[in-house]
Amino acid sequence: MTMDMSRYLGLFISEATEHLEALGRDLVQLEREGSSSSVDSMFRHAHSVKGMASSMGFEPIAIVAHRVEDLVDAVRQDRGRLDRDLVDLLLSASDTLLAQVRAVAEGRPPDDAAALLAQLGVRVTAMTGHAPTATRVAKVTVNKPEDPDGGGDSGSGPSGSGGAAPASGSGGAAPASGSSGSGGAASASGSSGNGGAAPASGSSGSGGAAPASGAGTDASGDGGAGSGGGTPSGTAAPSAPVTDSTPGGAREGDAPSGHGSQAAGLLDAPPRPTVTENGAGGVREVLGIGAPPSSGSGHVSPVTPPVLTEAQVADLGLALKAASGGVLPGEPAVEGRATQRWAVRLRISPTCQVPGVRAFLVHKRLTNLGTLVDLRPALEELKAGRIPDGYIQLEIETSVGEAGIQASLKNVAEVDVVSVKPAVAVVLPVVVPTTAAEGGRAAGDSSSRTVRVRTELLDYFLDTVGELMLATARLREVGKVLPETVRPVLDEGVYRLHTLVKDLHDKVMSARMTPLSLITDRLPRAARDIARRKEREVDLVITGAEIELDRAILDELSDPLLHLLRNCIDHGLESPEERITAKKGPRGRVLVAVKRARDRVIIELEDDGRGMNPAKLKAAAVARGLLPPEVATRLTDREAFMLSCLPGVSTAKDITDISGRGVGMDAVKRVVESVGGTLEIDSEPGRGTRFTLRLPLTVAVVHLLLVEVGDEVFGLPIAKVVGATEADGDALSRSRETALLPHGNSLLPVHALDTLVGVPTPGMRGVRPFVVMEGDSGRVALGVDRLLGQEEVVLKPLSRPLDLLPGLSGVTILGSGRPVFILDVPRLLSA
Amino acid sequence: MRHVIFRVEKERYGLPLSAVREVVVPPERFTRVPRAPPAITGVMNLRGRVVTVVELRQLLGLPDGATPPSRVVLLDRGRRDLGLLVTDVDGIEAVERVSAAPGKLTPAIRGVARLGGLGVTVLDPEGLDAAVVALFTHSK
Repeated sequence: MTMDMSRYLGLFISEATEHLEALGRDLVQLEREGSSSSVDSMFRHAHSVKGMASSMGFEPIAIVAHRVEDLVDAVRQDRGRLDRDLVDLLLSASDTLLAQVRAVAEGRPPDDAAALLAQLGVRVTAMTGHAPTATRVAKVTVNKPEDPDGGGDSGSGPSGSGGAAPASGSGGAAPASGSSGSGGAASASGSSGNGGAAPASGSSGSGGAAPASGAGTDASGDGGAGSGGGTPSGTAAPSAPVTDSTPGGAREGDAPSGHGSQAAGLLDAPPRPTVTENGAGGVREVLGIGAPPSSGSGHVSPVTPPVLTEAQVADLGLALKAASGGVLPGEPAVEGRATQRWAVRLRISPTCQVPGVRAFLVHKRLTNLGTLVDLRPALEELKAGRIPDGYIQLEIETSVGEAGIQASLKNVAEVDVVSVKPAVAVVLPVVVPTTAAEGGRAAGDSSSRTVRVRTELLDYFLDTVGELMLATARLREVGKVLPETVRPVLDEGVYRLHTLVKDLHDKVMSARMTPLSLITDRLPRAARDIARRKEREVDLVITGAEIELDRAILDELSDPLLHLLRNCIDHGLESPEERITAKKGPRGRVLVAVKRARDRVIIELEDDGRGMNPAKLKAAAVARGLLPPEVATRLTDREAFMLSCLPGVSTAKDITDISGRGVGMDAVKRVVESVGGTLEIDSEPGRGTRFTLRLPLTVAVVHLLLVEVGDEVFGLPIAKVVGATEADGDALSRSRETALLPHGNSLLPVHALDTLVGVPTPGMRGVRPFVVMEGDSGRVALGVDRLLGQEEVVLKPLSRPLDLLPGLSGVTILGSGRPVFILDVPRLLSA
Repeated sequence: MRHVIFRVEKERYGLPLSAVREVVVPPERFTRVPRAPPAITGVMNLRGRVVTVVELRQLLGLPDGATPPSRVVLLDRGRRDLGLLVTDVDGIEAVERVSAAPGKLTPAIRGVARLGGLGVTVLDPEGLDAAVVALFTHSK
């Protein structure tokens, strides 16, 4: 019998991933600077992951994390123990952990990483002088991993699904698994022989032992320390009649084995107190099992579990329910009733004439009950009656419980209470700011005002707002055909709608802004790995990582940045010997500088290596037949550097596993351009190379040149349009099959857009417009039927199956309601 | 299980009701998709969403017919917006006992069933989806 932890799975995955990534960063930083704060923070990260993983029942993860923790602890005591090999080992452990977490996220069991564990174990023994201790893991099952937060609300958890299965650990390991207080729940559900009853016996500090409680699942909603304590007391009291010190034990918080603490553990970065070795005493006390209070080593002999009578079991069930519901029958088990946080959702009846008044009344009633933590819409909006759909959401911290909340709202007319649920108390910002002072993320004011939102939800908001904008544009178009008498009224309404939607769009966009550190934080680790493999010495300096970009762009940039970094270290930087010969310092330097310039973000990656050779690049491009030799000779150096972005062009002497195969730079360029940015390369032989990425802050709005071909309209990104000109298509000179258009003092190859996109047209004769655009290997001219003008549009990404087509970069809907594709001309030409 | 029953010419087809988001009248003109396979009629604007519309006749490899398509059956495929262009929609009927279809099997066809004494070909939403994606990937 196991319990459903799936509600926490999503949280576990995101938090564990964050901790592990931070761990990797700390390691690299530690190796470089040896600051003691990184060791402490590493310990915290490892420790948190261990605790979370064991709570979730992911034994392999917990064990690896435990070993890492052991090693970091050893380093903490003696910094001299940290050598390169240990850093390597720890880094590979954190990689393995990340892979394990990913496996869990994909619904697979995590790999047990036996080989790595053996290595870690050897190292632990070597460093600490004794064998690693066993790791205790809660016995829980995660169901439906694909739907981490979909599960039922309160009530699904508690009844009889506690997971007590007592593991019969032996040797140094105390039998740990599962279910502290609420082990009783398992017995209620008649789980395996041992009657559940909390055999978590002194499980020395097993954080894992703590949580697995069905009741806890619910109580977790409130998460606050007070109620966290309340839960175990509620359950422990009946399940362990032997004790009378229960509430005290639980209250002390040494072993807040209730689920509340687990929730906190999942939600909050600092380690849980539970997991420390001396937590064992606390656990034992709570459970009231008469085990000798050993000195907190792992060597605790298993204790006979207390046997419960049926009546006690029944009591327990009740208590569990009570604890979860927050309404305790009779005397509250703990002194006073803990303040709990509730999420309340209300709806003002749509027929209500005075929504503002009703809302204000609700607000007043509720503030009498306790502290209103979060109110949406804000009070000002409420008073003004601006309540979208009539829904009001709020969170309140109160001791009156659900019944109290319901009662206080009962006689407010025209207001329905939609739901009252225990709320998760600790919330985090969307992105954890990772400044140097990592530890400074206190649970202060700011964190209580932010929520963690899934990125898909943000995407959805953006999509929907985009559609709202389109709908508004459509309305305006419709208005144009209305008679003058009614038109002003509609226009006014449309204008107001437009302003509101625009405002909403801005807000959604700002919610999507994410600091670049999200991706640049990975670079030091990558730089270390590459440098180590290539036997280079490198200092990586990153500045401006706090600058924010749209999340969608950021996601796209991760790989390109990594690729550029590889390029810098692998090709750009010389080996230490070469550098010394060239009168440079043996250590190379790579600078990643992020700057904000008006509505653009500029990322520069610069190395001080050997630089690029334009002549070589030209030769390589000509040799591959990508460029006629006569064109190559005319290229400027800058243009020549861009040749490295053509598929297959690489001047690397040797093709390595890291880079040099010439496949990457073209991908980098494509990605940068697909998000509306540009890539520039600048280089000076012997001095280094600089890649400059100019990116828009957001992806959503693009400027298009609309052109007509036959019956169809297409959008060309203005950013790539050089100009337009008219010419007689039949009179153009030709080279082989290609027509050539004189432009400036050069001749550009002409392509008819209709044949490029496969839209048959009667074929325009005589004078027609040509659009001159930047292509991958120089400018090209596109023959079109008509230029329709410029437009600023909301770009929509292509959904399957359209994204499988080459040459399209997105789609948009014009004010007329007509969908229009945005063309990616270089890809259209090459595909 | 309840199915949406529609026709391509005289032939009847069914899709589980749960897989169909809605049925709409096709717009006067579709926006053509550059370089798309011929079965792709184009895209349409459905209340701000861009929906790719496929002619079912071509997707299933049926011979050309005389009747112009008059309805688009929109599949409920999460964020994928896909519509099937069909001759007409008959209504919603309960279809039980789907048996294997005779002849050559395609993943788009789940089987056949009897409905009011007549046969109806039951389509598989996942299979349709796969068939459309296959159109795009095979054309190159």
